[in-house]
Amino acid sequence: MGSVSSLIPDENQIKDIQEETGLSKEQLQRLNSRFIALDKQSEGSLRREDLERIPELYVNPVSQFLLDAFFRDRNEINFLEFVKFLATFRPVDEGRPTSINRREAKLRFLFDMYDLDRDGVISVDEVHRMLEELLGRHGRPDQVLSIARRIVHEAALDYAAANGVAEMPSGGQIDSIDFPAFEHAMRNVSDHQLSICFLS
Amino acid sequence: SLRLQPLEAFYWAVQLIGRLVGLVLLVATLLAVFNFSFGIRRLYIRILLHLFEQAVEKRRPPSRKESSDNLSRDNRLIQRHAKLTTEGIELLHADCASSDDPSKASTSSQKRPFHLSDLCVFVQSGIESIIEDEVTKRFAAEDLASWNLLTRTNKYQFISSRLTCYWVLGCFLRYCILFPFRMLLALTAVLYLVIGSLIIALLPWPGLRRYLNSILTPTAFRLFARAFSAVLRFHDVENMPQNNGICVANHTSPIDVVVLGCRQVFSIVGQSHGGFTGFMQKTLHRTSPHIWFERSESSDASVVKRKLEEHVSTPGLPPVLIFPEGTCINNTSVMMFRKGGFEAGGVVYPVAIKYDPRFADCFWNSSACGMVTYLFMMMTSWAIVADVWYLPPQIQQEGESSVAFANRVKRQIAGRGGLVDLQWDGNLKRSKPKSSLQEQHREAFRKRIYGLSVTDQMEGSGAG
Repeated sequence: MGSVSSLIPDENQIKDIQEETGLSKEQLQRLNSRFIALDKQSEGSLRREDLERIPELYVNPVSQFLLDAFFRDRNEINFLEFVKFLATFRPVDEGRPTSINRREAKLRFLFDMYDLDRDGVISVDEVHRMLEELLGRHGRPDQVLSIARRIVHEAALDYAAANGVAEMPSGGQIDSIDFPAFEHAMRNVSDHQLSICFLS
Repeated sequence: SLRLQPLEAFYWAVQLIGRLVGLVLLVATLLAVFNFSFGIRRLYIRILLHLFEQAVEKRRPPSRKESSDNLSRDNRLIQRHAKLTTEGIELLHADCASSDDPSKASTSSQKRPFHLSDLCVFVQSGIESIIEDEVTKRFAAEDLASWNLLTRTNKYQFISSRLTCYWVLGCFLRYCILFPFRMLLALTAVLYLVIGSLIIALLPWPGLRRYLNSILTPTAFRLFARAFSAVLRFHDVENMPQNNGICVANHTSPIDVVVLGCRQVFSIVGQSHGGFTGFMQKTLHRTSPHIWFERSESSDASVVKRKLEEHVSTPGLPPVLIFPEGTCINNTSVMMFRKGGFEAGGVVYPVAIKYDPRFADCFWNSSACGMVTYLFMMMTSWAIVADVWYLPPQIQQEGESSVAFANRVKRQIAGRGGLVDLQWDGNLKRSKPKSSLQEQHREAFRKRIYGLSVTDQMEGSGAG
């Protein structure tokens, strides 16, 4: 129980976090309580297992992808990292294009969820993996693979067309898309669909 | 001589206090036997409430829309877009909704090919559940609107000096004055029960034993209730469980047994413990049949079922008391009911118990503290204030499965007690969900996604 008090940031830290995340003091306090509640071993940091313990997340079909992207470079996260991650999904503030919750940051996270091998592109295999997870045993493997191929190919063509590139060089199938192409493919997704609605 | 006087006076004072305490205990026991109350505890509660309102500022300014008799609020940090339930995805419409929302297509019958953005609703739901989920918060104490001067419920960093003063006085009252007296009452109750049950067990006539037990056990429980300064309000007493019935109630604490046991004798179905609890279980078992089982369900589930059936069909036996959730929940919700008690064929008497969280945090988190620690915390709280509603008896309908019957009763209990009705299993307090549950959920999504996207694309594209 003793280490728990060290999780509560001091006044100066709170101000900095507020500035960076755009969350109010009360929201931060609530998130702090949540952090402590999830941190069952009272380590001052959250691990993957702590989040997997949330039943609703556990049964979520994309939970593994989500957690992989979240714990990408680390085994545990502290409260600051926790709060910054969640703040990324606040609805976009008009007129603050470089803030933590800009659209690009949200799409970046989704991109990372697809991009399992972290090579900076989403390949057909990676889309296939996601589809497999979402569809399970429904759909024959060749059907699902062909859908994955189609999605990637069309996204790439779409992006090329929007940028004025007339014809693709090889004429064959394109098997991966990079982040700008992904962003373009997601252009019709409203910020509302990418955000968490924090109540004040 | 003069030097002996102070010593004599001291002994005399101790004897006097001892006699006074003994007298009070005797009076309390007599009052418990006849179920009579002077109303001192009720007065105490009213004073406490008054004090809370005067001394402690509300946590949030009262200008926010809230009803004045809100004991606690299910205060949300976020407005959820999508929840994953046992039936699939539940899309909720937030205030900040935009009109063209492609994700809505997944609930409509409109078919469209799979798109990279179909991930979004799951990601949203996933991150929202990291912030707030229905299950995890049920295994921690209920959030209070304003602090009730107990350290254990204090979530604030800053307490004014005036509050500190009140808190210190409160501590003194609870730990130094109330607690010793309550301990004595509790000990009296235990002694009474143990000695009484030993005597009754010796008598040769079962009829007489049953009659005497119907006085002994409720009296002991009333004494226990007094030991917690319990103020209990019983509603709809005409629906009280009858012999050979099955009484089902929501479970928050071992005190539930005391609360219900104040009015009648039950045959308790419960997990057998060791230590003090085990001792109490053995004591109770001397004078009335109870059903105790081990937590390892596989060996005992059918045994318990058989015992229940026997009990229900043997005339003249007291009603069975079951807590179908299987574990203690924090009294803000009712979790999945196990169907065991609903298969035995008896009449089911649902009961809803709601504790007032301002006076004590009654939730027993068995993984966080043992029974004795828990009882200590209860005896050093302000009081136990509870409402008990006896709902009309229910029977399994034609063609209704046990699971459906259990869920129906659960809904009634949740409704009456003002609790949230959840489908999740209370056992999630201890362990991760089973992977079969994960599969079950995913099937619900997959059917939908497959049905909407894959078949449509197959029509158009051919061999890919």
